[in-house]
Amino acid sequence: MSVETIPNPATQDQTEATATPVDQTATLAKVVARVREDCRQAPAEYLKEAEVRHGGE
Amino acid sequence: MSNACQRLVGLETEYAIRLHSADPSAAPPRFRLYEALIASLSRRVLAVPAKHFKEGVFTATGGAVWFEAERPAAGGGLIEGATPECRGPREALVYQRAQDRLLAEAAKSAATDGDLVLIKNDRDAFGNVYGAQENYEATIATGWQLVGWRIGLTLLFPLAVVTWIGMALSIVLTFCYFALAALCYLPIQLLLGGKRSVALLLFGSDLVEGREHCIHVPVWLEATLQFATRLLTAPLAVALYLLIQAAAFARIRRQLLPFLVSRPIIGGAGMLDEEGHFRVSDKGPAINCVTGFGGMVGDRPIFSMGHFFKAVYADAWFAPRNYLTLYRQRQRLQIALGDSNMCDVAEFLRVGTTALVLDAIEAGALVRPPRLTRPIRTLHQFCADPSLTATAKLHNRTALSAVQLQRWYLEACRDFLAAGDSEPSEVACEVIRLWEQALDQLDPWHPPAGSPPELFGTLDWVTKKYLIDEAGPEATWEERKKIDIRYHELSPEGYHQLLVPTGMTSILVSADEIERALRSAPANSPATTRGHYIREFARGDQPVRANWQHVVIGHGWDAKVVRLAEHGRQPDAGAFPTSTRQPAPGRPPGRL
Repeated sequence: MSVETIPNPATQDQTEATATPVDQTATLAKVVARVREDCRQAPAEYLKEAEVRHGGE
Repeated sequence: MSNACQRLVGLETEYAIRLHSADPSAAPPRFRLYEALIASLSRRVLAVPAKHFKEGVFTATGGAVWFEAERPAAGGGLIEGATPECRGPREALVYQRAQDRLLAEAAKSAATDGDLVLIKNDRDAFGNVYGAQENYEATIATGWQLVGWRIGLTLLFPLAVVTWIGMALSIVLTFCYFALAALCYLPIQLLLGGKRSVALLLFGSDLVEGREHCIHVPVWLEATLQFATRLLTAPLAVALYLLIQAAAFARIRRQLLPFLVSRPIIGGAGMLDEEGHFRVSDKGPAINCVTGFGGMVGDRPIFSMGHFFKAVYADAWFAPRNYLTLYRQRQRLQIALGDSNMCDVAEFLRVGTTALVLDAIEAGALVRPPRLTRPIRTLHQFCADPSLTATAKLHNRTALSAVQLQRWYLEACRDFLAAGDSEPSEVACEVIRLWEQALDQLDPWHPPAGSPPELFGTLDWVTKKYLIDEAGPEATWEERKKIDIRYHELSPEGYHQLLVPTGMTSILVSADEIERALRSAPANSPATTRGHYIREFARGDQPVRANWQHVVIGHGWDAKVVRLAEHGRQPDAGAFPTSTRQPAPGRPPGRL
């Protein structure tokens, strides 16, 4: 089997999971807006909660 | 079909624990959260306690979940998931995704005062480094180096015995301490009815308040014992380190190094550093040596040999016969330079390209591979350069960029596969194709401003950088750092998880594959046997314990021990080891 004949699961799954590039762009824009909004919610508290207390402290 | 990309691979991932509760000051010790997580996990899959000095469980798929802490009595710790031993990168990816899902679901329904989520990253906002490690079965040495390795192990054995005796004495001394402390505390208990602060100082919270931290000594004694252990094992550690430097994986380490140093441009997860600069890799900037034991003296190596040290001073101490396993030619090569990936392609390529390069090295197919003059400095330069223009000086006085180094290895692996007698495996072809695609996109690297670059959703550092950049120049460091870390959160609110419905994340593993990996162990692997016995006997009358070498059924002198060392070690072996005596249903096997 040559390299070229291997199906690309990434492309296949992407095709199944998505509609059009226009939809993708719009959906991504919504996600980016949500991330931008969420990252402003109590970031210092989030970082503290996510601190790894490995035990050396 | 060739055996390329068919070696045994196991992935270890440390997950940070995040508890969001109304009263953060009342957060329980991490070990309590681990216990809640394991209780939740055990309702989903069969799990048995690990037979190990570390707290953990093994599941029926052959993988493990551990509580990882340098000093448990201090209240810290994180969750470590270890996939079963898999055949090649694709299977490793499937089991990694299954593990991520299992742990995420277990965390969600764990009985805790607050929302428990896991974060699959490598460094928190306060500079603590942890994360991912890869294990590959590989040839430790050949010819005179193998002879030297075995002679060295034999010469090392008396030193190991002396160390074991010292360790045993330290345990006796610890018991003596507790007896003395009890005698001192007795009058306080009789005259004053006890004093909590004194009891905590003398005995620790585990003994005073019940099991909390999984280690039954006070914090100060834990630190003292840790220091004493390091001192006690130092001569053995130094001798073993010298032996490893001289004889263990010498050719592999030399030829793999430039590949690993440049690999973050493919497998890096990206990171916002303390100064607000974006780095290609999360863990790479923290690496400070090529070979080491990993954390013993503050070392963060690329090649971690800590498992050899543990095997000599801890595993072999509990079961001296384990020392003999170190004489085998095929051993575990552990690579500690690697980030926890969220993107399927990045994770698949991180493991797949490494496995393929290892195949080529072991076949002697790399002709005059590049040699870096200053590998650690080069690694830091590559990690600090998301424009991918930095170059590394080689011994032949030329300079190559990270992309060029990766291309050298890509072409060498392609030639290696083409020169083989049989057709390359599908997995090997998939690795080559995706590797080449990624390098084509990175060379030259000119991501468009304002729109997602081609490798968005494929490589983690590219995806994360876009999200951080989109936060805008007005975003504070904390806000941008939150994007860096929450990208890795294993929950519906995790930023990578939010991207999945956009269809812009390349997905290599189907839901059916993950379902199967949650139910059964990989075929033709030591995990096959381990998973089989856990499934058969975990619900029986006798206790079952497991580790990477054995499954133990029953307890005491009557315990039956299934040794896993020779099971599923050959790529072309059957799906289940034929040498294993199959016990009658419901009855434990004999000593195998």
